[in-house]
Amino acid sequence: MIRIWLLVLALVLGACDESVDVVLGTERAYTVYGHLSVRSDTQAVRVYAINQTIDVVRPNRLDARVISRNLHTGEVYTWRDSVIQFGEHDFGHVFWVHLRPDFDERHRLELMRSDGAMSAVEVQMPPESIPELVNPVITPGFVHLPILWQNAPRLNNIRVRYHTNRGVFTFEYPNDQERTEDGQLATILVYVDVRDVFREIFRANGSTSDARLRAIEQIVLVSSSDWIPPGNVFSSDVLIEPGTFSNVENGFGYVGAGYEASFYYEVPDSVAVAAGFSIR
Amino acid sequence: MCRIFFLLVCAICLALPAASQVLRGFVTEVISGEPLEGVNVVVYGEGEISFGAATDSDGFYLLPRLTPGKYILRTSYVGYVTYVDSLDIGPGQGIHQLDIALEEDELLLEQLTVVDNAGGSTTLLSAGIERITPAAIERVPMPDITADLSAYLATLPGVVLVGDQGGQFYVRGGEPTQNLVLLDGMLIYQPFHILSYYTAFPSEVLRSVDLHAGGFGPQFGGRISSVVDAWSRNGNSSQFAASGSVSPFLVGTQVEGPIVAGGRFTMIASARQSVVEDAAANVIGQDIPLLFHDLFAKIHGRPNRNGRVSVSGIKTYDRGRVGGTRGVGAPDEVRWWNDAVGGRYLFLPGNLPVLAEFLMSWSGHTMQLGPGEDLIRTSSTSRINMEANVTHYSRRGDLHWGLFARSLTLKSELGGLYQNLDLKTEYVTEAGIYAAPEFKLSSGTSISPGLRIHHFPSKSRLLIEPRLRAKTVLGNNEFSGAVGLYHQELVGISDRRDAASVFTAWTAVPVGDIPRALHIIAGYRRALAEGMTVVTDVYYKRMSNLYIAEWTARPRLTTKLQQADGRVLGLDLRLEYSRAPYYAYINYGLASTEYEAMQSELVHWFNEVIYKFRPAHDRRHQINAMFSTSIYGFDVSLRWQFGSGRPFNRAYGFDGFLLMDGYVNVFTEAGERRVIYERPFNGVLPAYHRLDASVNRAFQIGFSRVTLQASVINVYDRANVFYLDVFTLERSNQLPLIPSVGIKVDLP
Repeated sequence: MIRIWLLVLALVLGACDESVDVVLGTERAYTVYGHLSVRSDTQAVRVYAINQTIDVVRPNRLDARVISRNLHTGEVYTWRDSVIQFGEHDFGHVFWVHLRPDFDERHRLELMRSDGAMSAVEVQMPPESIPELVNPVITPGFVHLPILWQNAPRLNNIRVRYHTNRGVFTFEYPNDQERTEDGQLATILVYVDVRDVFREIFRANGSTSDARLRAIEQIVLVSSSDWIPPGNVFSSDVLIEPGTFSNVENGFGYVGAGYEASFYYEVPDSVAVAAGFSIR
Repeated sequence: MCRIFFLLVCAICLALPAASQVLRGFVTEVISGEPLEGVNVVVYGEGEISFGAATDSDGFYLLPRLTPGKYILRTSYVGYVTYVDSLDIGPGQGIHQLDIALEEDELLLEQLTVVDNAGGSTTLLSAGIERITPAAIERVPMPDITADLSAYLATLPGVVLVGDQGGQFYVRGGEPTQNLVLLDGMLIYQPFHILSYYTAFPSEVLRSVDLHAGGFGPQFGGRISSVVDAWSRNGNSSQFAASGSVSPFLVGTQVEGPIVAGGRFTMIASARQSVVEDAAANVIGQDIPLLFHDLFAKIHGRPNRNGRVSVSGIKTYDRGRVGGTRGVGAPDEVRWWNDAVGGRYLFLPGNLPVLAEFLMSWSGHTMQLGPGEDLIRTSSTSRINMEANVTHYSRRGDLHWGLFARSLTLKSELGGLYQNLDLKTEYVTEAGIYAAPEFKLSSGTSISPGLRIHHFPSKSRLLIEPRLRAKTVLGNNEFSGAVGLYHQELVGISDRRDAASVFTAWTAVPVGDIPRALHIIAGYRRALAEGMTVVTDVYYKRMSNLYIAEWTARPRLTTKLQQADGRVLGLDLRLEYSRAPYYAYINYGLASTEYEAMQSELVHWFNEVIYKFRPAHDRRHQINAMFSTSIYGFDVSLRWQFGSGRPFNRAYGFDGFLLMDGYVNVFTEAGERRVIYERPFNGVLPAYHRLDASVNRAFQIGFSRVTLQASVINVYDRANVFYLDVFTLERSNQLPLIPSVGIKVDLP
C-alpha cells in the first residue's frame, strides 16, 4: 500500500513540472570536415560550431582558434578563417593554412573556443605509393588488370578512364580493393567496362568498327588507413548520423589525409584486341 | 452490381429452412419513434416463463420456434410502462409480427435511483467493447454547451489524444489511421475536427456509439487497432423540433421532425460552424488559427412493416495551422474535407427468422498541406462500399454472416518524393465474407467464433482472419475474452516522429508485407456494492509490418519509411459510482507500447540490428476522474485528466554534414544542416493534466427550453505541451484556461 502511495506521490510531484529541455547541449565543441594532402600547398577544413538552434546561418565571426602541429617536427601552424557563401542564406567557415605536409607525417589539428572547449583530430599522412600492374589476365573477351598501389594504406575515389580515338570514358568504381603485404590491389574490370564504352561510341558514331583503345588510366585517392566508412560504402543516409564515421576528439566530423594519384597504362595491341577494340 | 448483391443474399437466406412459429417486431418509443435497445421481451406460456429476447440497436426482437398455444407477452425496460399483450399462436408455420411502442413512465422515472436512464453508466458489453450513450457523453464538461463524443473518448483509459488540436486519437497503442470510424455504416476517414474537442459529427444526433478498443468481431475489418461504430438517431416521428446553440467555440443548429403524415418518414439535420478563431481567441487573447464546420442530415422511413430504410449524409471541412514551424517561417496550414453519403435498408423476410441489413455508401476524403496558393501536398481518397449483414435467430444462439464488396480510389500529389513513395492514382477492389455464429451455452454464457475472409482481386491477396469472443457470468462476476487476427491493406502514411503531424496520405501497402495485428483481451466486471461497479480489461497486441518513419539526422519533417513491429501491453481499470444525484468514475490506464525498428543503418549507428523504442504516443499512465451531480437544478460536472509524459526526440545541438567520400573541396561543397539527436524518443515530455468544470441550468420558458452553461477549461491554467519544435525551440502549448458561457434553445 505504501508503495502505491509513493507512486501516486511521485506522479503528482513529477506532474508539477512544466518545463522541458528540447535541446540538451553538448560539451563537444566543433564539427570538422576535410582532408590534408601532400599534393597541395594550402590545406583547408570546414568547421561548424555546435549550436543550440538551427536558425539561418549568418556570416558572423566563428568563436574558434585553429592551429595544427606537425607531430614529427613540432612545427605549429595557425589557420585562418574565411566565410564562404554557398547559397542565399548559407554561409560556412573554412579554415585554411599555407602548408604542404610530407608523406608519412602525422599532424594534429586543434580547434579551441574562447571558453576553453576544444576539439582535436590527428591525421596520419599516407606514404608515397608507386602503382604497378601485376598478373593481368588477358584473354579474348576477358581482360582484367590488377593494379598494386605499393605501401598504400587505403584507396578511395577509384576511377578508371578509357582513352580511345572516339573520346575518353570514365567509370566510377566502388572502393573494392584487396589488402596485400605490399599495399592495396585495385583491379580494372576491362571486360565489364568495354560494353559501356562501345555502347557510348555506337550512340555517338553509329559504329564501333574503327574504335581504338589507346590507354587505360586508374585514378585513386591514396588515403589514410582510417578513411573507411562503416560497411565500406559512403552513403550519406548512413554517415549523416553524428558519430557514425568520426575521428574528431570531443567533436564530430571526419578529417582524413590523402592525395590523388594515377596509373597510366598504354595499351598494347594484344590487350586492345583481347578487349574487343580495333588496331587498324 | 447492387441487384446481384441483393439477390445473392436473398438466395442464401431462402435456401435455409423456413421457421416454424416465430414472433418478431420492433420496439420503439411512442412519441419520438426512436428504437429502444435492450428491452426485454418475454413470452409466458401457460403460467411458466417460456423464453425471451432483448431488442437490438434497431429495437428489433425475435423469438423463434414457439410452440402453438396461448401466451402472455410482457416487456420490461427501466423507465417505461410495461407492455402486456396476449398472443394466440396457432398451428402451422408462420411469422407473427408485433411492433410495440413503449411509453415513458414519468412517475417511475422520478423514483428511479439508477442513473442509467438519466445518464447512462458504463456499459461494457464485453472485453474491449464499450457502449457509449448520448447521456454519458453529456456528462463530460466541454468548452461548449453541446456535448461531444470526443470529450468522452478522451476520458477512456486506453485512448490517447496527443493534444487538443490536430484531431488524432490513438487507441491502445494503435495509430490514428488504424482506427475504423463508421457513422451509419459510412466510413469517416478523419473523424475528429482540427480542434480535437469535437468529432466530425455532432453527438446530439447520435443514438449510440460502440467503441471496439480491440478484439472486434469479423463484421469489421481493414483496420488493425479499433472500431468506432456510431449510429445516428432518427428524427422525431410525431412533432417538429429545433434547437440552436451559441458559445465562443461553436454555433450550431439542429432540426428534426416527420416529413410524411403519420411519422412514417422522418428527418433530422444538423449544422455546426466554429467561431473559435475569432470569439475564443478574443477571450484568451491568444491566436487560435482553427476553423471547421460540419453538416449532417438523415432521412429515415418505414415503407412497410417488414422494412426500415434510411439515407444519411455528412460533409465536414477543417482548416488550420497545427504544430510548430518545422524550421523558419509560418507553420504549415492543413485542410481536409470529409464527404459521405450512405443508405441502409433493414429487411425482414416474410417467412424466415432472419434479419437482413443492406448498406451502401460512398465516402470521400481530401487532405491538403501548405498555403492555398502553393500547396505542398494533396491526398484524396474515395470508397464505394456495399455490404449485407444477415442474422439468423435460434434459441441456442444466432448466426451472423455477411458479404461485402468495395472499390477504392486513392490519389496523391505529394510534390515529389514523400516518405520514399512515388505515389500516384491507385485503384483497389476488395470483397469478402464473414461468419460469426454465437452459441448461448447457458444463461449468461456465450461463445462466438468467427472467420473473415478478405480478398483483394486487384492485389491478388487473400487474408484469412479468425476471431473468437466469449463471455460468462458467475454470480456477480462477469468474465469475457476476445482474440482476433487483423490486417490492414490500406495504410495511412504519416510522419509520427513528433506525434503532432496531421497530414496523411492513404495508399495500398507500398512495399513488403501487410500490417497485421493479433489482439488478446480479457475483461472482468463486478458490482461491488449498490451503485458501485468495477470494470477492468487486460490487453495484449502484437503488431507486425507497421510503416513508420525512418530515423534520420536531417532536419526535415518527412523521411523514408521502414517496416517495424510493435507490441502493446495494457490494463484499463474503471471504478464507477452511480447513485442519484451523484455520478462519478475514475479510470486508470496502464499501457506500454514498444516498437521494434529494423532500419538497415541501425547496425552502424547503434550497433544493433533491431532498435526498440517507445513511440511518441506511448503514454504509460493515464487517469480520468469524473464527477457530476445536480444541486438545486444546476447540473455540475468536473473532470480531471492526467497523462504521464510521452516520449519525444531530444537533440544535443545542430551542426552540419559533409559527405567525406573522397576528395572534397571544402571551399565549394556546401554540405547540409544536421540535428545531433539523442537516441530516438529518449526524451519524455512533462506530464499532462487538466481540470475542467461546467455548470448547466435549464429553464422552461413558454414552449421552449433554454439551457445556460458556464464552463472553465483548464481551470488551473496548466501549460500542457502540445508540440515542441526541436529546430527552433518553439513550444506550442495546448489551450490555456478558457472561461466560456453558452446558451442553447430547444423548440418546442
